[in-house]
Amino acid sequence: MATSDLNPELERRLKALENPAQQGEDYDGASWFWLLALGIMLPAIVLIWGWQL
Amino acid sequence: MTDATHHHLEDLLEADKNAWPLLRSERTWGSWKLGISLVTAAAATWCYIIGEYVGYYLNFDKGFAALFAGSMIGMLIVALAAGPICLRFGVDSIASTKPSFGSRGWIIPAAMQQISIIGWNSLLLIFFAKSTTQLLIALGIVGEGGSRLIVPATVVLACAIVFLVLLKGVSGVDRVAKILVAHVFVGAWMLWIIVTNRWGDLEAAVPAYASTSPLWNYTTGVEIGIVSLLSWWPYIGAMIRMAPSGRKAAVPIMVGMGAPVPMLSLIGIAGILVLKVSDPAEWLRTIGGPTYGIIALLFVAAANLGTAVTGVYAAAIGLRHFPTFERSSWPLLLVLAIGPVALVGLFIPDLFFANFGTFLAFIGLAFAPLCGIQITDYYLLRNRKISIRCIFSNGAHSGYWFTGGFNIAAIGAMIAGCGTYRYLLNPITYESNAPYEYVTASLPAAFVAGLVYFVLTKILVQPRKLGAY
Repeated sequence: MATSDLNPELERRLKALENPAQQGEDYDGASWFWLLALGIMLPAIVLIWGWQL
Repeated sequence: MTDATHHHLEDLLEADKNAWPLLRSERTWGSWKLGISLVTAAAATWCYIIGEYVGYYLNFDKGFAALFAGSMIGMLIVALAAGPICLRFGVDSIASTKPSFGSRGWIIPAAMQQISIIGWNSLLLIFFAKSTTQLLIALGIVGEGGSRLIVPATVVLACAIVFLVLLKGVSGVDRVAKILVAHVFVGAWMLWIIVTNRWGDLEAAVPAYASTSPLWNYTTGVEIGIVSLLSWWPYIGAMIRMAPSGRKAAVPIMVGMGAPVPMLSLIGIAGILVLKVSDPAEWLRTIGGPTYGIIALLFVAAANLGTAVTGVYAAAIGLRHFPTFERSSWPLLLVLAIGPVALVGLFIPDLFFANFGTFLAFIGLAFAPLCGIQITDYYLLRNRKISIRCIFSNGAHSGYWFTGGFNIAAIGAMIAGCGTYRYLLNPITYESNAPYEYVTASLPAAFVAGLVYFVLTKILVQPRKLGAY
């Protein structure tokens, strides 16, 4: 793929980030637990509690 | 300092003023640092206005429950939409839209981002200016007519401070966050003051505009929570790209960015229910005299400054994606990001303030479909496979070029999502249609947009081998 139009520093970064080992990490199992616990389960509990007040 | 270290620092400073992806070695924020920065960004006086709107429909207890639940749901949607790409590649929210909107189509979310951040920053700085004016009038320092000068002068001063703080890039956000996070505790103190002083009134207060349908009121509280947190979409990428992994970011996002809004909004709910005003600088003076008023004003200043700094940083990084601004100086980008805020504060502060509810609904109308599209694209259609090179290759050779740089599936899905929202809840009049009471407006808008995006991609995009799927 042609990349000559890219800034050399940007090109250096892209080359590095194309290596999965150099990338950041996506959400893992623990992250998903907290996301779902705090984003679905907790709101569901609070909604039920609040409706009964 | 060795030459190599010096060059590394220069590259990092350059990168954090660009929209370029950050390398893993440059993404050094741990959970605490990210969490504190997110709290500082989230905890601002918009919480009082959000609380005020909830307090129009719900009492204190139910208002908190609905707003808290809605906020955490909204935060989850944003975290799943922009989060993964920003975390993996160290990019901002706008870059994360290129796989779904295209090498040119990202301009749609970029425009939404700029409008949203300009709107929120205008609100914050006008709020601060109004609080300052009120206090100066109460202290007898200026007369009633003084507000005509003080409001614009304070807005301009605040814009200048934000500009100076951000001259050094994201380090300015971090530095401000460390100092200003203390204001969250002042917020807790203010809540304690009103709850202990006026608990009886608070329990007896009746929401001013409550519908005859308790379910409608409750759902509207949830909806306000969701849309309020959807407005974090423009901000989130610029912050979480400093963290190296989802594990370090997940809890700070949900707790640091999601929870403070409903917690601090309690101040606004309580204020509007008991004292008919959500600005704590005003009602604290009523309860505790000028000293309390000054503390509240300092709180407002600290809270809004931290958030405005984050917002302007995110907006400036977003502008960097435009080819015109690719090589512009950092101070120029800051001026372009702050300038519209100053203009709104100078010329139409009252008009903007009076239409906050419409602005809030616009956020839901625009960002709910956007999030639905991103989630569908990343998890269902791309199976998490993203090309960072395609994100930054803007020509026709880019895998994310689609058709003329635009992905028609994303445009169709945005129209369908916005239409769904508009049908369920009119953003101007707040009139609703079934089944709004049971499902809110934002969640179906996100779902419909995601569904339409999926179908259009399968029918129109993938068969033509577009989009690097």
